[in-house]
Amino acid sequence: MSGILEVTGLHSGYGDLEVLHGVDLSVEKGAIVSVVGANGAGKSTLLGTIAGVVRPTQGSIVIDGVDITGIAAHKVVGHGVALVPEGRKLFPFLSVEDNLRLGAFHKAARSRSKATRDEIYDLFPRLAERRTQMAGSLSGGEQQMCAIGRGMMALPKVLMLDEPSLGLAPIVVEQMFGLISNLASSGLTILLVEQNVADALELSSRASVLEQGQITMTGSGPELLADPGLQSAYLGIA
Amino acid sequence: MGVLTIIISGVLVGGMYALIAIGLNAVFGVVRVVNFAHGELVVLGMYTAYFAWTVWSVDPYITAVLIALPLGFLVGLVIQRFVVQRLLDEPLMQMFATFGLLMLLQNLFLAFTRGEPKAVRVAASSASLDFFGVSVSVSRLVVLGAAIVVTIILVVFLRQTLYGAAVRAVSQDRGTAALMGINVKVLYMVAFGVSGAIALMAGALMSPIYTASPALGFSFVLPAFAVVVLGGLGSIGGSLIGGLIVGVVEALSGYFLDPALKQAVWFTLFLAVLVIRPAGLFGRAGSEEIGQR
Amino acid sequence: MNKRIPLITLATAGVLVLAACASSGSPSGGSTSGGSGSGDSSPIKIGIVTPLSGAYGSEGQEEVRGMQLALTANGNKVGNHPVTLVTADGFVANDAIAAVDRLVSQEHVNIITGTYATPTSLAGSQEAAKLNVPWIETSAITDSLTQRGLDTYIRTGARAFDFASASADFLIKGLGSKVDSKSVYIDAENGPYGTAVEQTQVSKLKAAGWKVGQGSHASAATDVTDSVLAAKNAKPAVWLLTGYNPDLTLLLRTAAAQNFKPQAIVLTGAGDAQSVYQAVGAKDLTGTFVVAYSSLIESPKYAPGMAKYYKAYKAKYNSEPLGTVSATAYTGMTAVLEIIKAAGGKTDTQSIKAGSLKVDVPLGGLPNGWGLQIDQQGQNQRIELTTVQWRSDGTLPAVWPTKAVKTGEKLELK
Repeated sequence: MSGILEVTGLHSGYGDLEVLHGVDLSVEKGAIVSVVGANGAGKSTLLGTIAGVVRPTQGSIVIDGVDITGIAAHKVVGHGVALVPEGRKLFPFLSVEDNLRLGAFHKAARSRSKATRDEIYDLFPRLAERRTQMAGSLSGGEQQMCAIGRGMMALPKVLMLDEPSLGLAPIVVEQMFGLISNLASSGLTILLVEQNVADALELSSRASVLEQGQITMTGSGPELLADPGLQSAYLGIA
Repeated sequence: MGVLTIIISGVLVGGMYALIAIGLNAVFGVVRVVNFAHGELVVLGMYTAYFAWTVWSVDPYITAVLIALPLGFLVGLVIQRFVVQRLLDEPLMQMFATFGLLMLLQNLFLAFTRGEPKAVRVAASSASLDFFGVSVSVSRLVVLGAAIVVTIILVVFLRQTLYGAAVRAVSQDRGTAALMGINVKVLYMVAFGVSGAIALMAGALMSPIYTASPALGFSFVLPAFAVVVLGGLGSIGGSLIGGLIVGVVEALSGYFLDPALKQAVWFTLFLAVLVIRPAGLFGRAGSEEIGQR
Repeated sequence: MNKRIPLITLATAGVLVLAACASSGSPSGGSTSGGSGSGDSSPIKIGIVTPLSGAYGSEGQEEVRGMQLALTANGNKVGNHPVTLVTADGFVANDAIAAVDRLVSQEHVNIITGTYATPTSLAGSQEAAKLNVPWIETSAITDSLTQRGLDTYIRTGARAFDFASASADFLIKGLGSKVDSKSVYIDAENGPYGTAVEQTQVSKLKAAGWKVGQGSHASAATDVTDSVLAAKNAKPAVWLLTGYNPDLTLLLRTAAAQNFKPQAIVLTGAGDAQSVYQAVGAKDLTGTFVVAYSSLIESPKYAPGMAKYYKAYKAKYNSEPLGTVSATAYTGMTAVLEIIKAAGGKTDTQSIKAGSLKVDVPLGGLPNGWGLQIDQQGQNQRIELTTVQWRSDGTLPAVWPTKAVKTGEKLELK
């Protein structure tokens, strides 16, 4: 147990409503770890809690040896955790370029901002073409690229992706997963949350199943894919 | 010549509306708070100039830059930190709170001045330039100049700098902005501070023109609200143009129709814009709905 | 989760609220009266309803001061009846009604007076009439207050009509022979007050053969260049203005900037405050006439009680009076006491009404030179407003009517 991100016994929720009831998760450096589960299982809450948007009530979150439990959202990114939120959440009236620049707003990333941006443009030539366009005017797939690019601008130790396939056309979804896979092979650590269970498990080195705020299964991607219980619950295979 | 005089006087008054509207818009467009007490901050600037002028014989134009700007920044900061921030997710409560602040400030002015009007008189009060046979008031020209300078500074800041982009990001989606590492609370305090600084500076610059009295804020903040809506929420350049439009429309309708109809005319304009183009002339469609997450 | 109220909605609501507030506050006046009888030396309690807080709070407090001083000057009694004062804060109609209810039910006042403001007088006097308590108004000036057929309402003070007539008379009898042509441009603030004054001025001056031009301005206007240019284009000998201090100041400043210099400028109802002198400056203000209340401290023959008032004010409050509100209230309370005296110390509505009709104080009999004769409608007919003129040193000596002018001063054009 010496992952770059270690979540231990995490409880959190909104007001009196507790959503996570003691979640343990370990993300190893360079891996793609996915958390799958049904709608409302608490996947987004988990990422939100790690990102500092939702307050934890118990447990700890450690990134690269530093305890970041309960610190404010705007400080978390400086410790190396970037969240690409569900639904992209780009700044619609800012240009693609400005969206990317803001990804590198925190001090540690700011000095390398231009170089990182050029790398991202190399990776996503479509974004380079549309750098001066308003982010709100991009297509769904382009917006997701921009959102991932913005997350990468922070030079994160862990990039968290919340439902990156949501609302995209099937062909674009495939491209998106291919891209995530490429990112991981270039050394980026990725924590992925998906409802699209089959695709997510296929490219994950480790995966956990989250049900009603608790991890019920953990294993390698192929192991989980082969599990009959999971097949019937999430993959529609009886 | 009559018409030229009227248009020029309209442009000059428009400069005043614009300067006040820009300060209002800094808070309205970024923090998404309707600051009803903004007019009172302008009046506070006038009293500050009066005080500095009578007690230390400081010229109001020096007060505007050296005293009103920093004092206004501080006042704005304090308002955000201790009043608005506590109500960040409750727009209705914020309205009540800033309205309460308006009453508080008005009554403080009353208590300190016994309601006596306070006037500053310096050389610029009655100085005028000749512009193709039309006399142009120097003190009003200064306010127009200040509105233009403030607009340029803010627009360049917002468009060209990383911090400017951060401000725009916060105004569009403060939750996601925090994920970028932007400290939203501090940014809100700074936005309120800038708004307060512009308001007090405007007041000090206007002190040679108007007699300060506790309820004067109303006369200016009403058209300023119209200007913000007309020019577009969060659009600083829109506030400048909107201010000039309201000023000129008001002056022309006063001269050609009836001075009694001046306010009615720009109010009609204001309502028409609300109905036809809620985002304002220079705002982006839909931008009036976002940013409250 | 997403219960967002569009900001535009809030903004619109806000602007409307502000607009409502902005239009709710200019002083003027009105009300009714009621009362109850009293024995030979039974105490009399007088309630004062006036704005003690808010935008006109200082004026209301000055009014109370003036009334208190007048009562003290009369030994705190009328005949054998000891008199005490009770104050209640009231500016908008609801405040005034609540104030009247409290004064009558809890303080058991016999008579109510005040009020500095028309809304206060209007609503308060109707409530007092219901409770059968007489109302003697001293300072609210809207004409219609004494045209409501309210038998319990008496006004000892001036009406807007009195200001309008006095200013027109000053032009006709005072200025007429001195200006090059009998031409005047009349500009009043466009509320009910200014409009009423302007109508009276126009009809009187036209009847006297003057050439009359007409305009108006909003009292809250941020720019009045349009009004000034309209006046300038008419090339009048006299510019006659009605409004409040801030808008009159702006008109005078704009006239100076636009190089508009009629032979005489006459201000009605306001324009005598030191802030006006400070803002307009001696150069542009000197020679301007003001038809207004006047404390007339320096005209002892004309206004016999004003020097005493001024001395008492300075001694008790250790400051200069704020404008002429307390001087007017001083005269007003003196008149109230005169009416009670004429009613034989009885304070029921019928006795007060009967007493008021009997009162006969000649001009010069009240501290500020007014007299007191109440007509059937309840209005004092013996009111004489003076015209003062700004001097370069910031003083305002009376220049009209002639008998009010102190030795060494006279009516001169600039």
